[in-house]
Amino acid sequence: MGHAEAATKFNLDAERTGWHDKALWFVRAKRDKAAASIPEWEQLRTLAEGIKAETLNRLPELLEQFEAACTRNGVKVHFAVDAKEHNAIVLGLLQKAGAKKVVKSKSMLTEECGLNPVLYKNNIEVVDTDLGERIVQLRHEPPSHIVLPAIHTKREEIAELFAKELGTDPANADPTYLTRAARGDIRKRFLEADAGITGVNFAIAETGGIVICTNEGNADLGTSLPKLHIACMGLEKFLPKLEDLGVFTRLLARSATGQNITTYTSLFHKPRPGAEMHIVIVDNGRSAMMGREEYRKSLGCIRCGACMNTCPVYRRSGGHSYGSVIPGPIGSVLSPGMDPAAHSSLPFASTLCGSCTDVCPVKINLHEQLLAWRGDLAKAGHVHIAKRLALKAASKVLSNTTLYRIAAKALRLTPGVLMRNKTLNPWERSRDLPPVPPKTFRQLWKERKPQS
Amino acid sequence: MTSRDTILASLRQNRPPAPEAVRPPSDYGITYPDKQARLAEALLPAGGELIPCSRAELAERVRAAWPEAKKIFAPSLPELHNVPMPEAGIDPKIYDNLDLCLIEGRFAVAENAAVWIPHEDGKHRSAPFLATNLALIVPDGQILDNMHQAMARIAASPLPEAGAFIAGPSKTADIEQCLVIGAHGPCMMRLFLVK
Repeated sequence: MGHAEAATKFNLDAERTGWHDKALWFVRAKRDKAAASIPEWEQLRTLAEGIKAETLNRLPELLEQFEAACTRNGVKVHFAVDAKEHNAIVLGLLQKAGAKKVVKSKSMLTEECGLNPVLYKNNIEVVDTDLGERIVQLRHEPPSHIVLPAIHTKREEIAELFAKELGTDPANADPTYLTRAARGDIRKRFLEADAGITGVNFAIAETGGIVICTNEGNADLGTSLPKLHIACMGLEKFLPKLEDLGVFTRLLARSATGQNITTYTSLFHKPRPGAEMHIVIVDNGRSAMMGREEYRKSLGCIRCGACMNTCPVYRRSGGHSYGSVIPGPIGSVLSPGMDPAAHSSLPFASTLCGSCTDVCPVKINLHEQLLAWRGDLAKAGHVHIAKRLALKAASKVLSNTTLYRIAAKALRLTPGVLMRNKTLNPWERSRDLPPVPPKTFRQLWKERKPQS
Repeated sequence: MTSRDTILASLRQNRPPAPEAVRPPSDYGITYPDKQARLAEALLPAGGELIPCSRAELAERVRAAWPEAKKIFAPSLPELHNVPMPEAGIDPKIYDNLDLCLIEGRFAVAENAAVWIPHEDGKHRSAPFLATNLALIVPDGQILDNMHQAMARIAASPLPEAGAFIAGPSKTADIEQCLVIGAHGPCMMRLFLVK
């Protein structure tokens, strides 16, 4: 199913679509307020863009520098070419430590690699500890947003879920009550865990440090209790220097949720005495993406989700309609890079309004990349023949004055019943075309008296 | 070829051209004429509260703020501390269900109310996250304007094995964007700014 079909299904529930749209717009509005409170906001974006560009250029050296620093710090670094190797490394580390119970704090990379099913199959219990991730884990579905994983669920649905899973009162859908119930359940799991798996927000090449940002404190509990910490990261997460965090910590939370900073911004350099710390660095298509000039900037993404919150298509179609681990505008440029055939509909899930580009804290030219993907996917034969022919016809008509005039006249002469037929004209399904004005612009122009 | 070498070779092969290096100047970023006022203002939306007091009255003020607290972790205030002291080899789980954790921060950042807590020796890394209530202590002269100053300060001294910026109590809005204070960590946090 492509994005359009999945979105159509989502849109069948108009009330829910409106609710989803508003919930995300609320987050977008908070982002605007936070950005406006910093006079140097636009400069910060330019700095972040520049630092990420420098990072990509120096990535091989930064990686080596990071590895050397980690080794000095007593942290073991592993490299995985793809998802399969990543999962094998993590599983191997857990098995070697005899770990049976694992707590995981939010990591989109482990979602991308499909780690959980591999661990389940090997009789390792893994609990996602971020509340939103826990909700979707218990619902047996993927996150629908990279920062707000359960943004598509309503409190009543969570009350029902927790009643079944945690024994709470099914009639009580109070968010504080539900959050406390999850806290109690997950606290026990933190204390029993043999290992903690985390994602990584930033990795500092110079010092061998990793930075994890959360609001719930789950990454801190997951790393301060068990004796084994495995951090999983994509190889694009590097920053050259510790000072660069000044720029990025100012941008991340403000762009993501409109907070001035996340509650916890935790910096890890060494394992606790008597504990082990491992970092798994994953390529999985990233180094190949770096070779594609028009798309490489997407590797600067810091996973704030601002492009999703602002996207009129994401807000009205929901994250699951994208069918990719990362939805929204950034997912629609990253996913076709991994598997063009599977994600060929995503670059079309955009109005190309450019709002994503405007809010992106590292200035990724998202709408331009979406347009570029459309061309590349069509060239590679991944675009449906009907769409290809229609666009070919449109390009002929729009680039030829005579053809354009004939077509415009024909359209004006088409009876309204046909134009407004909801089967023949899909645009009419949820909107009404305005009445056709009696005269065309050209006619009005001709009638205008020449100016004195 | 190892995966490491495969990845490095691929990165070298696909290396983009070098851009011009950009870095903010050393005095970069927003500054505040009254840092303490800004700190108090930034702490509110983070769900915390600022309490200025003198070092002499600190224990009393903390007690007054949490009169019900029984299990208290406060290595720097022996008159309040009543759980095992953090020492090498201690099980971090013993600090589960602390009523209060009191911990000294190095500095606070006015722009976002984050307090820098270095975990120097790993002995009590778990306490500030397991406790139900959190008291952070920062000397009143240690307020920086922004995160650029904060990172420069951290980079200039020996790095701790780990550390955290903490801004307010733990929180989540994962259920319908409703803010709930007290997710997995502390449900209440107060910042004592001591003279």
